[in-house]
Amino acid sequence: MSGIGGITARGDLTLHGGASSGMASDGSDGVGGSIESFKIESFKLENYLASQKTYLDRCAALALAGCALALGDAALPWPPADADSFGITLGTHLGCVETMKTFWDKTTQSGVRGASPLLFSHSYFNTPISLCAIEFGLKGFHATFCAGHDSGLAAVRAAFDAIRLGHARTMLCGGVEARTPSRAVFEPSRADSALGEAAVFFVLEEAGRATQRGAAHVLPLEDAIFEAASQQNTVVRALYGDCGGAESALASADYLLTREP
Amino acid sequence: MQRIVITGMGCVCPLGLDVPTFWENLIAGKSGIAPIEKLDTTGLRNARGGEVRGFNWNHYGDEGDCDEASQFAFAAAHEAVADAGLGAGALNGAGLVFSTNFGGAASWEFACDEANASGAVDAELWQQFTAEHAADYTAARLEMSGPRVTISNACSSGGNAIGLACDWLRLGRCEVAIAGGHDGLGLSSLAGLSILRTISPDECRPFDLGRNGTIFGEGAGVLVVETEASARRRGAPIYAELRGWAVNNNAYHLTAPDKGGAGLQAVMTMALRDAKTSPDDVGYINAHGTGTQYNDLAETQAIKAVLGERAAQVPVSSIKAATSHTMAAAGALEAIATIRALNESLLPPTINYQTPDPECGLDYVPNIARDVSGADRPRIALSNSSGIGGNNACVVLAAP
Repeated sequence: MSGIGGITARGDLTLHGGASSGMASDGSDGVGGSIESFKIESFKLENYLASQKTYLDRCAALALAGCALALGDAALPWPPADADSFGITLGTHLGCVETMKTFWDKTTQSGVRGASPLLFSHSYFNTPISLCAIEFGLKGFHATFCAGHDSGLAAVRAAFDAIRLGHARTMLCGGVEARTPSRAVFEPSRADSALGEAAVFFVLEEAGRATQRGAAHVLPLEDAIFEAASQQNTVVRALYGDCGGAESALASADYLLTREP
Repeated sequence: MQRIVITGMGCVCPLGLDVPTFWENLIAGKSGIAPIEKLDTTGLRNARGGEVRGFNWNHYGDEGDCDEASQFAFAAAHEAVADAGLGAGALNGAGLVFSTNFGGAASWEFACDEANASGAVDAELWQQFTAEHAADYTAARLEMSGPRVTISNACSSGGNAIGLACDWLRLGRCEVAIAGGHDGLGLSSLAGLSILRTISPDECRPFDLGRNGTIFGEGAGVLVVETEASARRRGAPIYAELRGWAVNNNAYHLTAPDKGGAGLQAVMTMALRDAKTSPDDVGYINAHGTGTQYNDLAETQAIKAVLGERAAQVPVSSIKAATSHTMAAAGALEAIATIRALNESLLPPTINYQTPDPECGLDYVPNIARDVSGADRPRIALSNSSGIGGNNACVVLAAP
């Protein structure tokens, strides 16, 4: 693992440190302390990515930002020269549910002929990953995983497997979930788990390749990490809220960044 | 690396509620496309679709609520598991990889209505919409305790699910896995697909000069994927070897096709490499073949690039004019058709093929199933899938 890009309500997470673009909703620098809301209040995609977008669901925007941060953290330029062997996997529980709801509400109001092709094309579970593949030129292994709170970890594990089995040489992988009005209606906060949001992505690559390109601070990855990370969800939920499909990826990042060497 | 085999198959689709019926109707050149009865088609580009008819959920012994897409998935899994001879308790530790484009589309629409009316949604109804509902439900009913995940890679999902199961077996994560795809027809998805103008206003005609779009449908296809060692140990039927697979993305545009077919060419090449198989050994291709202008030309160009001079001699067929485009189920249904083709030495036809397109120009097995039981009997076949967002998947299958 040669890079981490996490967009969270407590600020950004990276493997190599650096400035925090995110800001906690309490107005602090987002590091430590308790926060009342788990929404990333000050999130702006342009803080992470220069290109302009016509329309983006918040889930897709968070994913794009997380991926850009992870690639930057790993010092990997995009589009990659080896695009066919550079893949992406993404976990999400509800994906672009806000756009799905908006699309359906407008369609029921205006009739089928008044449906919006733009909203529809941005409403798929796989819209965030496809936009990331397009933005960063990733033509390799590619899949969106939906497994509730385990979605992000499922994506990371699949990326790890893809490299081990020779499907890819480098993988961007992680999880994303947005806190939106529709999600709040469909999955309301419970007393023990207020809704949160996050995008957390990792860069995985063959160790030899990372060494060859002089990647700084590479963390070795083995099966045991997935097991350990999966035990961290409760801790992470208390800190970041219920981050849905991003939760287990966030737990992985938390584990990797805080464990003893 | 140990060999991975297919030991069971199940389906629910517009052509039949089980694999034998599906195959019989497919080979007979029949189509399951008919006027849609389950929803109001006002405003859609076509009032016809691939609806599952005659399906009786009571047959599966659950009196509770369950979204129709999950019902299809469970029914297909039930058939596949029985076909593989896996009785009660045999799935302890088995993996499950399902896939869907839209989750429980009917439950989604109900949930939105409920949210708009009352500002809240029944939690159980909401669960039935989620992408992973069919997998969770099936795992619970079949007492499957192994790894489980749902993939959502648009219309390439089914092939992707089969491939992921293959990887789990290769890595020893399980010895048996069930894998496939499912989707139900809903107005929420049909409205979008209609406004994107992917739907034909009349007929689905893959590879035909007059092709003008696809026709969407619903269903589920599920395969039992197993290590050869496990299959041999328990004396299971082996329908095919799953030699390899690949998935990729065009990284080009969210909805516009990659007109030159570079992504499809790459995914077929990667799948053959994963299968350690030469393009010269490919004897049949079950195409994605949607019947849209761009897909069919791009796929033809990709096949020509992969097979080279042999391309004109290798039969290629699309079954979508017969099954309709069943979204995430399509890749699994087409893999089942491919396996039956290898087993029976009988290639399913591309129906509604009337006028050759000079820009395409492959052997599309037009209109009538083809007996290939002679010396040229295909031993290796590819099954291709593509989907919105630029996804492609290819599965390499071999006769046992």
